Amino acid sequence: MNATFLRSAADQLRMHAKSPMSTFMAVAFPCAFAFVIRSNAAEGHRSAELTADLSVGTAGIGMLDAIIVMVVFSLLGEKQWKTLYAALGSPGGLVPVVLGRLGGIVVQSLIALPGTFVVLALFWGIDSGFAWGRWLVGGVLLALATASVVGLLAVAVLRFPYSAGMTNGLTGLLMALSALIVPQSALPGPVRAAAFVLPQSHVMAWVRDGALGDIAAAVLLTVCYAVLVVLLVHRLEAAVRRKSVPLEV
Amino acid sequence: MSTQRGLHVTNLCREFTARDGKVRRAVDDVSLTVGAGELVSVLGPNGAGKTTTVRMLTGLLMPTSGTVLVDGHDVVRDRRRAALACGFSLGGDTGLYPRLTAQQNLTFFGMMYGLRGKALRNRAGELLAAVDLQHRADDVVGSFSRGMKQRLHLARSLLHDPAVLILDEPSAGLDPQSAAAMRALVARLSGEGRSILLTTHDMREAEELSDRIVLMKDGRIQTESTASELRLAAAERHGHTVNVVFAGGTVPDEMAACPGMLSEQRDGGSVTLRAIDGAGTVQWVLTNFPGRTVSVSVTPPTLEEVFLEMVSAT
Repeated sequence: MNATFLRSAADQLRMHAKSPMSTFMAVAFPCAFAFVIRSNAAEGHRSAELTADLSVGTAGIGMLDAIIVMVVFSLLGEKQWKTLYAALGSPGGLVPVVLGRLGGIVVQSLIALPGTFVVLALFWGIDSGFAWGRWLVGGVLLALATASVVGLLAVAVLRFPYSAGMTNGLTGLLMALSALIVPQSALPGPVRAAAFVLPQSHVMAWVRDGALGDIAAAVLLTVCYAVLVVLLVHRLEAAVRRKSVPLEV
Repeated sequence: MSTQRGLHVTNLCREFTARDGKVRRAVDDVSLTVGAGELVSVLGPNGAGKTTTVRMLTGLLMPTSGTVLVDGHDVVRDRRRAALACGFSLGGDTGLYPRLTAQQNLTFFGMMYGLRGKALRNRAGELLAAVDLQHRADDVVGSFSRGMKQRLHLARSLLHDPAVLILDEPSAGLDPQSAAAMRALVARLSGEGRSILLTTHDMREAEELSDRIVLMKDGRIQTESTASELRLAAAERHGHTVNVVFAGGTVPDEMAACPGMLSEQRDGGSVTLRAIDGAGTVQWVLTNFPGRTVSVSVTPPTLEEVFLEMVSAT
């Protein structure tokens, strides 16, 4: 794997992982959300204990929010510090740096997995049939899938000066489409169709006792989104060089 | 790949199109060469096209037309090799990661140029020592002064040991001591055989460091020469400055008859005048006022005067 990519990911963690905001987004916010959902759920609708799908879905909310916030925070930092010009002038260009930042953000967002689990398990206890494998694999896949989709936001933040303002709406939209809380089958028709093209909904389908085909679909879609992000960053590079698009705030 | 070493720029142009479709030419037919071991300074007022030129030379911006060869590699057609041959520093307070240490910054940027492991660590340490920052290697860059950041920028640009170095205002905003240290550093790099292109607003810096000076205005090169040739050429147009200090604290009235005098300014016992023939004027003063002169000096126009003349010319 490209050394610049790995170093970029490691430096992302060095620079931003200690941010209390990212911890709050990844743990406190989804836990509070889970409590609200649970307290409004009809009695007996769910088991009393924490299940793998609820645990992964709750972590997924935290991951989604943390990844969106950290992508904006990290890349606006790059623009403010005008550090991307050095990358642009280097042989490898912007791709390894931007992808590395996304990679670091994935690792950073993984705190949501054990973070939300511990809090929710302490309150509700763990279901006897808790699927640990699905929790762990599903959680990690969900982080990767979310980052690949939010990578599109990263390109938008780099390309368009005021795109960071769209992030709040994006969290709600992706949360609904990712089938994090309710199964994809319970979503309204048009939303279900949109959810189908998001890898997160397939990860969640697998965590909810789905088949291997769900994982394959999730991985395939994740790779597709990652490739799309790479292509768009290349395109951005070309636009910066041709049209003098600024890489600074 | 061409075998030409150094930096070769030919008929470089860059146009920008505004939203209303109006085309503005920011850089117009610029050609220049910086040979191996040569240091060339580019001077010009704000908006002259210096930064746009630098961005094209470093591959950050595509030229509308023209070619740039960095150590024989075309920056458009062979961007990767050109990037490996070129180090650049855009200077200023930005361009570095304030939350990383100096060592971590250099490590990250070094990796972008293919450096790895021990070789990278050693190179970063060597450069931190060269720019006198070895004692701050493990401090975050956010705590650095502007001068320290400028030095770290220079270290960053040298990580991959490039043959061509492009420095955009390396001493801008520095205090006199830091600026002098930066000039000494750049002079040392030039002595190592690198081709250096420097943009600056500091006339003293340009004069002290450069083998040649390029004056730019409105996107075009107005003139290119050595500092002394520029000053002497200006002297032929505007005269030399001759300063005479007379004994007794008064300037003799006969001074007004000095041949070839363009202007005169008196201050007590001293007179500063402009004359086309500086040496002739000195000779005339010494001949006509023997024993009455305390000192006589003659200087051609300063580089700043040359620059201001170019800027004000329509």
